[in-house]
Amino acid sequence: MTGPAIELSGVEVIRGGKAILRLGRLAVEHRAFVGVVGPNGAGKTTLLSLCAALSTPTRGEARVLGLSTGRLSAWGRANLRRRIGVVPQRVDYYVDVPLTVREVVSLGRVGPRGLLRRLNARDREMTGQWLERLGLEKLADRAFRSLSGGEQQKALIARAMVQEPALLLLDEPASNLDLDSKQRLVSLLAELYRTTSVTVIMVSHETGLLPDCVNHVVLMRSGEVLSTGTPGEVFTAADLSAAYGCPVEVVRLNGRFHALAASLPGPSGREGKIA
Amino acid sequence: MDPYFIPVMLTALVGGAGTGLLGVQIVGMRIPLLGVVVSHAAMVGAVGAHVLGLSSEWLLPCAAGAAMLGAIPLGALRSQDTRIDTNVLMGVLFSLTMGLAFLGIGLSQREQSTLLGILWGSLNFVTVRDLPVITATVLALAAFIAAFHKELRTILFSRELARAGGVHEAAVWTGYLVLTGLTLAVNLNAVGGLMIFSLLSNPAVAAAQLARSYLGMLIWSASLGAASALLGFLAAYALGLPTGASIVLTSSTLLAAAFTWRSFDTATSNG
Repeated sequence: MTGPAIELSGVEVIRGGKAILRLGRLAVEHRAFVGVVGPNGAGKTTLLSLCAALSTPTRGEARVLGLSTGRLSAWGRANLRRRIGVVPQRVDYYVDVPLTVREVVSLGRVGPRGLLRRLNARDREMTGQWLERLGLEKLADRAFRSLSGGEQQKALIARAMVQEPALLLLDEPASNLDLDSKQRLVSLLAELYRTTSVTVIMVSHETGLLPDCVNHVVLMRSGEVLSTGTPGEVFTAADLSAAYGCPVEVVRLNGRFHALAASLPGPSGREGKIA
Repeated sequence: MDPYFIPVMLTALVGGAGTGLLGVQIVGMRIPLLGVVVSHAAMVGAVGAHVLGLSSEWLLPCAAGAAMLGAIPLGALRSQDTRIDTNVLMGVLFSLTMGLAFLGIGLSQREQSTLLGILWGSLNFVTVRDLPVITATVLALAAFIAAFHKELRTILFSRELARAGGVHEAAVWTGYLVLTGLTLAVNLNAVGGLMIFSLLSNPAVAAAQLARSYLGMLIWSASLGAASALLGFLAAYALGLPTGASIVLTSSTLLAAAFTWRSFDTATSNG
């Protein structure tokens, strides 16, 4: 495939008369692992929605896997999305619906298989492979609702990967997890990236949740890109302080960059250093 | 029992199974008000036909048309597009359709028994001619679910994830809603616009307590819907009760039994 996996040019997204995303040019090369970072309301999820071909820009052009999403019909965009795996923060579903982990993972094959075609032996084989690969085989026949938050996220990643996506989009996948589950998920994503040929874009408002294999970072604020480059170039105290609107210190640990609020008001109102 | 009641009981069985099947998706997606809005839209269509002086043959086509007219745009709505929670929007539309139906009833100068039948329904109003129509609609619904069960299951888990994964969810969901409109419209005469909600929600909620798979939930829900309608009718016949109310109470009893069973089962498994 020629050209970048994602190419956004002169993109503007307007909702309710207000521009919520404005980008000059942003390209994501194939096989890249891109981290999109910024505070709440920075436009990260809107950007991800454009990359997922779930929405189209009000102005400008969004090319996803070589196709201009604005020029595709709704049907064409749906076909394009078959090659894009999406992992949300969490799924809000009716927990009494009896779906097993295996069933949830196999749902990823529904789009690629197409209408009026049953899931076949290959689909079941792929589902089994990804369950095994993510260490979920022993949980496969348990109810999805009975899994822990970390296990549910793993199942959702497996669901996205059985699509055989060219592009994997992760929307703050670790936000709702406890500390141990967060670390396990970050390691899993790094391993996934190293052992497959998928292009990954991961949104996070915590820099420390981006795996060490992230090779490009987009730092956003108020719907605009503040800076882009390698993690070492972007994750500076100055850039992160500007993005988050508070003094930030950066600590590098095990190849990952952790942004810490440099100071907080103490109990008596005086500032107390925490890092 | 009078042989006259045989088609009535068959209609109860088939209609109950149909609404039970419908309810799985509607309850599973936590949009039970969709059923109420669509059944009330059907009521508006039937009442409108009555007010306009159309003959009784036109009530069902008008009810089905209005139900589909209400169902399709509702299916197209997503809360992130409207910026209003889907259930809140349906609550508003429910009161609107209810108001329109009662306005029609108030304006009607014709005899009221037909309108009361639409409102409250009665299996006793069902004729032999209704059975093939209800059966054909329920079979069409069952065929649709069989053909698109993998898409429907994906939508049930998360409509947004289905969309993100390249499932043609809008097409499948719209088709489902067309059949929702039809199924509710053909059942209007038997159960009534006001009470059909219980046959949509109760069997599906009960099925969720009993089933261990999506297919199991469909089978349980259809069976409980059929059982609610048939047992409700028989109870009404035996005790001289209003049929619609008897069906609602039967389905509520079966729901309570399912919850009790689930609690017992969970306690046994844990203990």
